[in-house]
Amino acid sequence: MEQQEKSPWKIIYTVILVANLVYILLFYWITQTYTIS
Amino acid sequence: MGGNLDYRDWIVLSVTILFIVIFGIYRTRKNRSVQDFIKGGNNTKWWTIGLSVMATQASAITFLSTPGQAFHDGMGFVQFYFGLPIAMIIICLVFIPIYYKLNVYTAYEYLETRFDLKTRSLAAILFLIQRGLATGITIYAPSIILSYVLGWDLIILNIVIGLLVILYTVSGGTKAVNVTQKQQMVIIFFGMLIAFYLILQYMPDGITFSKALDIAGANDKMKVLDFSFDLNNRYTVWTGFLGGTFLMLSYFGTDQSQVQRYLSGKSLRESQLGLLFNGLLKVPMQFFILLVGVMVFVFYQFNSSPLNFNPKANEAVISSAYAEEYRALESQHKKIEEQKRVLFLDGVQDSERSLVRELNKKDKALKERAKEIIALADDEVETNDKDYVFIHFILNNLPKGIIGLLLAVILAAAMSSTASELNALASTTTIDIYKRNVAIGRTEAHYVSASKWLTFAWGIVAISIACVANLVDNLIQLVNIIGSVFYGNVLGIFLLAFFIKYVRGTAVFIAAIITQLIIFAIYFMDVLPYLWLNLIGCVIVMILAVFIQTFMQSNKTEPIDNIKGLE
Repeated sequence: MEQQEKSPWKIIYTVILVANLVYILLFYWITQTYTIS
Repeated sequence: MGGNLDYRDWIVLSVTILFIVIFGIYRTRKNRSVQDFIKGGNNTKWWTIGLSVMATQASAITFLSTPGQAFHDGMGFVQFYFGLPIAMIIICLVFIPIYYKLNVYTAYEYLETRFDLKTRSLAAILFLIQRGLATGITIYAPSIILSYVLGWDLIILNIVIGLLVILYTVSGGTKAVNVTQKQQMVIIFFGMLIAFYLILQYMPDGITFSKALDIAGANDKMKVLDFSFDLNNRYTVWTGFLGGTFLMLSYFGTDQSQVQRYLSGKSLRESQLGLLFNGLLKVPMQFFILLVGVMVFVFYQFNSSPLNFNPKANEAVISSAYAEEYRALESQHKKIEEQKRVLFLDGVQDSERSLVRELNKKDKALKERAKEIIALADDEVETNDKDYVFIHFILNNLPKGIIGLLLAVILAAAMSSTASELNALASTTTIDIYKRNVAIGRTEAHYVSASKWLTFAWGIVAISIACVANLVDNLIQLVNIIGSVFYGNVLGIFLLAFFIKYVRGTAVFIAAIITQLIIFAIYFMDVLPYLWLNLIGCVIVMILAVFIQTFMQSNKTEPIDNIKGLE
């Protein structure tokens, strides 16, 4: 029961971390594409 | 007072602001208990908490100063927020469950349970000093800028903004703050979207969004990520993650102005979700605001811009002995602008990039010389014009009515942050100082009345600070510098409380005082980017506290496992 209660939170935390990782990857792509080397 | 606003702008601005204030007072007119006033009756839903947390952090400084930051220095400032999602998760896992279990009204109440009254009082006082100063800046920042560009009287602006906020915050407490912040965020979001849309519309034919990004990149504005280890760089991925995580942990976990927002949640779950809402959306939101600044930059590649965006700076120099030299610089600046405009009309070709770099170098030198001349003409005028870029753009380019809306965005942001801050200052003073140390055992009605009077009093203090404040740095950085000087220490106290059971109150108390003095010293010596002060302050207080405890008399090795309320 406790495991079931904990797993939605684990999913939520994972979603947030993954979303932010995606943002950073996007920023990396933007930096590489638009910055003069 | 009056400036040069069109009547349509006045209507939009006045109606928007008055609606917020009146709605806030009306919706919360039945607050009776301390729980109602400080915790909003404990029935706030997660999305209201999420918007409230966001609105508290995003003051007028965010909207005035951040686009200007991007205009001058590019997108890199977004890295500052990289630590935020990590901090949110840690707070959800560690801080909020403890606050809920102990049913505290303030973050510092917990510290008495864990340590002792003096540590609680010290942490509360550190918060009151830091937040008191910051609240003054929150009012001052939009006032100084609007007074310069619109010609409105600074003191009157400070008083008007302060009093409008005092009205609904005194009347309705936390609930009024929550309710009004929802409206404020809607206005802010709507206004910024419109601004962004219009900027893109104002680009010359053929300049698409993609070409605009190309142009921005050619001018070195699109370096979002910086992986260098240069200690002289204020914003890198490393300062963002390390320093930023500690700053955000402290700000959202221990600063009552944020803690009070989520303690008003209907349940533990609602509070946690509200914070996590920010963990998901804050970074893209800041990216968007910075992008608006970059688009303003691109706009000014096709339209003329002043050598310095601060109108007071221009006024000072034009009426001085340096006017002729300044005009010569302006003339050279216009020539460079014209050259760049011709270059960029068909986008930017690879072969043109080194020429762009060369022109920017020359323009930068002109602007530096302009600043020197301004300082010679009047050494009290602010030469750093980052905070004036966006407001200059708004006032000179947007349609009537939309100007009023954007001014409402700025004032709404100022009010939302100030309201949270006053609410928190009053709550901490009432609960941690007045109720706990001064007037123990009074009635509920007495403490509600005290909270209202203290809200009013702190409002007056904040207005007074705003009236004597002075710009010393780009505003968005100034408030974060003030935070960084105090936050590391307070966070360290909380981390000791949560995780290092070995340490007791007296050791923490002594360590905190020594640490604060060390951080002041480091700051004034100016040896490190300010974000690192959070990490350093936190680490120093923790190490010192353990060190001091080790040399003290009682309970050297037994963990504290019977703290009341945590069994």
